[in-house]
Amino acid sequence: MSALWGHLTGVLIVLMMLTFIGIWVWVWNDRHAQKFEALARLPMQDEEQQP
Amino acid sequence: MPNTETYNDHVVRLFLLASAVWGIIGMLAGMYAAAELAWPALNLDIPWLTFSRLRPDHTFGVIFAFGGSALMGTCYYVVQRTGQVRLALGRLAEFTFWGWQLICVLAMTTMPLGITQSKEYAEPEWFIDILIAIVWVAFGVVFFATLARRRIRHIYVANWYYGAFIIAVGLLHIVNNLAIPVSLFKSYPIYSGAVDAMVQWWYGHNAVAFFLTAGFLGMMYYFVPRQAQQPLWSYRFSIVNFWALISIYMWAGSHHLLYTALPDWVQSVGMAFSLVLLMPSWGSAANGLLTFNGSWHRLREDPAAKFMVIALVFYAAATFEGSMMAIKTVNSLSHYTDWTIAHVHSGSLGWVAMITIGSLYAMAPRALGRAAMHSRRGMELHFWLHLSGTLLYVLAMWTAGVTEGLMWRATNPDGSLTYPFIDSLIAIKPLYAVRWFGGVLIWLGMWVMAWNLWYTAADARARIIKPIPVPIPEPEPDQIPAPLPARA
Repeated sequence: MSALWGHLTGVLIVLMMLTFIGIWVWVWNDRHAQKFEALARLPMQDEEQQP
Repeated sequence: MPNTETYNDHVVRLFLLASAVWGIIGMLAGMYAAAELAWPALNLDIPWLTFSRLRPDHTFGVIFAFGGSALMGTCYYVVQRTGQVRLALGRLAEFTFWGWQLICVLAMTTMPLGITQSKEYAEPEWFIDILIAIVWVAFGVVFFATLARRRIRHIYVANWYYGAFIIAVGLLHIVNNLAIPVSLFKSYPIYSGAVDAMVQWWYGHNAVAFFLTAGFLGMMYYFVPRQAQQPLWSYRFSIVNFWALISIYMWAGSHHLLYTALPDWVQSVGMAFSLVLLMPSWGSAANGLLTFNGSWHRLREDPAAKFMVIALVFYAAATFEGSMMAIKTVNSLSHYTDWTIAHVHSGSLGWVAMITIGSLYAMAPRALGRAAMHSRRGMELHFWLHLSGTLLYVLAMWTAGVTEGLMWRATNPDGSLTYPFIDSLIAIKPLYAVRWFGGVLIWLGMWVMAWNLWYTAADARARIIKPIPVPIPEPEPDQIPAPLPARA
């Protein structure tokens, strides 16, 4: 394994970890709370609309 | 303007019918193949009836014909409901139905004749593979065109799973089936040796990941909250689990090739990713089960909910087992034994079949214009047949697998093997009979479901059901691209 390749995979791993942490931060951002609340209820509508 | 846009449940009904029929056919092949392992004379010396020829019919029949029809049907149902829009491209959607059925019939009739690529779960020959690619792309076009027209801005999590399922399965199918045809019925893969094995198991494991997991998680994330009549336990958690699952699963395939000619580091990568994979798997299982918190009483009155809860328990159990089996030291005991068969079937019968059956029971009355399934006692009977059959099957194969593993590795002080191979076969023979009996119970359960669906579909057969109107929500103020107007 060349040194360049080693550095490249290292950078990639850091980037992937940051992306993963970023997803956590994004979903727990209060900005989305209301929207996610509504979405969590979306599947229940089908039954409610039943005549 | 009067609202006349209705949901396209016609194509959903077609897939519902197809999955009930293929379930019976695929499991019949499995049941007969299981009987042949216990009583080999049952192949009657007819080439197309031998285990080797029937086995791909069983796997293709249950995974792609039964599971595939159920996935496509529920996908069309869910994408319409969660986007509050009619399915786009109705004719193309109907083409995906007839195309998929043609593929299933062609595959299931050519494989017993020995027309096969001999790639596990990718047996159909090149001309069927091309048809699969065409129908699959059409399926993707219908799905994403419908998503593009949705009236709810955010794409509901179930659709993310269905979308990943469609994109990844298309990619896997095309890459793994690249081959050079030498005649109508024979082709050779462009890969060879260890590379061929790695491509095959990259495909094979991701067929588990994206067909048998992501697709069915799409079903789970829609039908579980619907049936529990509770909001999804944590929508946030579902997003984290989605991205974690799809990014990790792709790298786990080499755990199928531990202790082979594959480079050792590739095997270790597969093992490491398989262990990390436990997190998003349990995340989804927990999210589904916790959604039932507060409505456990529904399990008493609703067999569909019962199917779903047990499916989630099996999902958690099978994914834990899978991660453990990917550890090299555990794998040295389990590989090539019936433990693998036990693991696959606790996943496929416990998780996949049960979440499918639960979802079909939840969806069928709505799609067939009824308030409920024809017979609740029929559903109850099906539940107990399926559960007891699965437990018998899995417990028998676990016992057989560990027995084989221990007998094969036992050595005498001088290093020679303690047992000749035939001894391990004799030891597990009764367990093969138990496995066959478990299969019979499951197969009978599928007949009960077909009977129940047939009577629930009485109005649909008489063509007297009214299409369900799409509830048009208030338009989102700043949606890009803007949704299309409801058709007059």
